[in-house]
Amino acid sequence: MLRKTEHGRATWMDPGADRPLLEIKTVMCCHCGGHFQPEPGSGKIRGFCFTCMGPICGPGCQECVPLEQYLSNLEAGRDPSFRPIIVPTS
Amino acid sequence: MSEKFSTEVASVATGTDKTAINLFHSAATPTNRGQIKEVFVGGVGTPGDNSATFYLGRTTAVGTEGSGLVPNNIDPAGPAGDFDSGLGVFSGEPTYTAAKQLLRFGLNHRGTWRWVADQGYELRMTATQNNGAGLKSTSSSSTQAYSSCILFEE
Repeated sequence: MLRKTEHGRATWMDPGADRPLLEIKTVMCCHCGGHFQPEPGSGKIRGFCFTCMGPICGPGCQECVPLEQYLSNLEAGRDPSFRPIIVPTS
Repeated sequence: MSEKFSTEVASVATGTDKTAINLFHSAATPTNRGQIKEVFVGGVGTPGDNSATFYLGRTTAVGTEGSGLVPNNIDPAGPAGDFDSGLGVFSGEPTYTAAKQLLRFGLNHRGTWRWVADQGYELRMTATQNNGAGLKSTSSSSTQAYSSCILFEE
């Protein structure tokens, strides 16, 4: 299955130019839902979650709490990093 | 099907942590999550070669807004939404979730900036009363005025 490599697009425009000054793609962190610009070689620490199969925005999001779980935690007033323990019953 | 709304502010001066728009759930028991689809920011007033850095993040408490605007449904025949928006100048800033930015960008006062999300990759807000997202300037080289607009779905 192909993964999308662009989740958003930011455009900078100047009134004196007949086309955008700059267009960049943004990708969404699969844990916090924030968008960032991938900049290979910039030295910024990003990552990829092989559980969610999506990019993560930095060390603060390295613990796997999927976005849906993260939002549910915020809504329930739980610790944002809470993940339920799943125990097989058979 | 989700409804599409817009909210905007005509002019807010930049500075250190100066919120332009705070979008928040006003319903006591929300049942839906808002999703920011597009953001526009552009300079107003006499342009100059000055810059500002903007930040969009989730908020967990409303501040003391300068004025309010009930977001408009883009479909004139559509229903009213659950979200409300506070506009700058804020005398008390909204409370932002720390270290979890949704977007950050820099802009020259002469320029205009637009961000649009692909379908399914919108900036999602929690379904909690008075929670939402805020757009603010975090720093600027001088005091400049910008207008901004947020398009979202709920």
